Amino acid sequence: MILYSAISVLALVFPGWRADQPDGQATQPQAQAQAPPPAPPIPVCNDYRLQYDYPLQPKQRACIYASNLLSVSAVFGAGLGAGWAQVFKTDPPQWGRGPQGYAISYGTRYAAGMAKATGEYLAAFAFHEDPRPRHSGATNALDRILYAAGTLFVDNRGCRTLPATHTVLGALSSGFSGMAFYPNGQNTVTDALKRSAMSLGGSAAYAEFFEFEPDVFRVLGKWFSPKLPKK
Amino acid sequence: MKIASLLALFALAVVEIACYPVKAYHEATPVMTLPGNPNITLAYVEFDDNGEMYDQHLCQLNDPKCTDRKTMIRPELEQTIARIQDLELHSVGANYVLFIHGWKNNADNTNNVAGFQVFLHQIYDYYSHSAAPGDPPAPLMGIYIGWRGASVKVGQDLTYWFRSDATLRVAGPNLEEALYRIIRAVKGPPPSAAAPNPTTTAKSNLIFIGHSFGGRVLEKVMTSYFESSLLAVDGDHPGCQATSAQKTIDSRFFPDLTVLLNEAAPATDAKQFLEFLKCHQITYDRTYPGYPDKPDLSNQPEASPLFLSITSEGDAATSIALPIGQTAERFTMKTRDYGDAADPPEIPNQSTYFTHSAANIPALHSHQVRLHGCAEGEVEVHLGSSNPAPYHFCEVPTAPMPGMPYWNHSPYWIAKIPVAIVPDHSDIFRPQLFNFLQFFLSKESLQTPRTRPLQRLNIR
Repeated sequence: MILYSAISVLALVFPGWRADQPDGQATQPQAQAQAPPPAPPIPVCNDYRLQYDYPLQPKQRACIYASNLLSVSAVFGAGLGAGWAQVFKTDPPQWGRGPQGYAISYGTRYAAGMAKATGEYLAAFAFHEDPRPRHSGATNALDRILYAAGTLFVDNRGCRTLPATHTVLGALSSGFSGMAFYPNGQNTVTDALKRSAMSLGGSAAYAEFFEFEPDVFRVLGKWFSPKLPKK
Repeated sequence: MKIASLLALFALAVVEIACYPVKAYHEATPVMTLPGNPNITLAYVEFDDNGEMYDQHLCQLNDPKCTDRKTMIRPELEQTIARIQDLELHSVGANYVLFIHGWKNNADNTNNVAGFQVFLHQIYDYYSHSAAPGDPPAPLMGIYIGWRGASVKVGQDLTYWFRSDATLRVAGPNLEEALYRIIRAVKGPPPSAAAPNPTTTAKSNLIFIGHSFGGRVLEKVMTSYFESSLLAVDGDHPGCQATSAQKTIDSRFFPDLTVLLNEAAPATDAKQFLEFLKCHQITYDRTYPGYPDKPDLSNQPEASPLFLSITSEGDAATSIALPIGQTAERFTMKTRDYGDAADPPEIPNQSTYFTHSAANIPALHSHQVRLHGCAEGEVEVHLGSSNPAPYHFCEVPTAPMPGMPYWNHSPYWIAKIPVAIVPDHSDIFRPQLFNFLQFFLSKESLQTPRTRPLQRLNIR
């Protein structure tokens, strides 16, 4: 503000100062004699920092957790899952079909997703694990598939390879949270473990998609490009 | 009535909460140094949704004393120019990197604001670590051009058309003024018919980067800058006929590198500018007279890019979303067939240019980035600096070959880059991209900007 005021006063006192200086010539800027003030630090939950900072700070973990609770994929994923269950009748019959059944199914799935995010957050926080997905950097397809699957169980982002528990504990949270919603008959520990396995499978599918996402879009993008003649 | 009022209030509240405000985020302090390195300056110049710079009136307009136009200033641009002049005055040469952000970003604490600061640190570390003892590294200044690329906080994917239209307003007279003044402050005045080779005291490097919609903005503004500069010295060029004598212009007044990164723009502008370059048979090269330790480079001109348009192979936003978005917009206009006059012949209809970005039209590619050496008919490009990335930059063949582009040999370089360098549309400020760009940024010229390559435009 002081800097700006100084320039403003100079502009008023010397009206020809700016307009009359020759093009490109280095005219001494009186108001810039001293170094500019330092820039404010970037907030820790800036998207770029959430992607690249290592290790994560507690506040950054909380930001990632919060974004997982309310995200486009969480909202639409639950909606699509509930729709699928309504169409193919995979939900408990007690929930019924139609809007009410869809609402219960949607709520259950969304709650399971929140439980998964909470379980992952708490486990990663407690065991100092990094919950962010990561690329392998490998070129061999099999290596990449195995690496992506391995990220569910191994955290090798730092200089050491450590077991990753947050994915498994998150999946268990998701599976067992259903015991609060599912009707009798689908509410046993075995059912909860099945749901946990499904949840872990979802995590695995996402890890694989994350690893191959650029390549998927590279191939899809070629479909939209005007082609060069082959001969 | 009550319910309607409540709904209206609710809608207003949602708009208020969900929309980014129209304001300059850095008006109070537009120029600052980066934390941890006082030798790196960062400046913000911001534009509103109509493409106007934010200005301030120093007195009330109805004040009788307020008759002079200088009662209105644009603090961000003025302080940026003042800082450039300060650096030019007090250093033996500096490096300037100007960045225009893209969609879903603004000048607040968005992804690009943080990424650009990291990028500046990477550039500075790149050339300062190998500086000779006792020789202070050249100062670095980043200039962040902010506009309302992010308008809403929720559902940003639905704002494609609105933000695409905004780019056309941003690339207007105010931004042209800002960029041209920055160029003049760093490089001196451009040539004219009277003085085609003006004496320039320019001693600094200037790099422009536009990302996504920011690339569209940069292309629009710089295309007219390059065209007007060229026509100023070659204005009486009838059609595409060759002139009587080749003209060579010292083009040190141009930015040293202009990069369009994952540019989200229909190729219509690129196509027209490419035709202009081809019509005037313009080549752009540089030599290195200031590098006594590189005698092989001193007299051997090497082709250089006036524009470098690079897009990731994994960029779904420009390869998939842009064609879909532009196809919807195409119904609001008419396009025509080129017929036998199609040039390049692979693109017979205007609509292809309107619905694809230049880098997503293989026929326009000038180079291929390859991991395992150049293909048959291609020529590997060697620039003044070594290539730290494990890739070969190959110029396309000059004659038609099956399944390969051959047409674009202009200084508007267009290429796709592998996903290992940039994986998608947004994740750009990463070490792999900086490694790749080093191919185009001579470390020697960044270390000692006054020895940077001599750039020349040749018009045949």
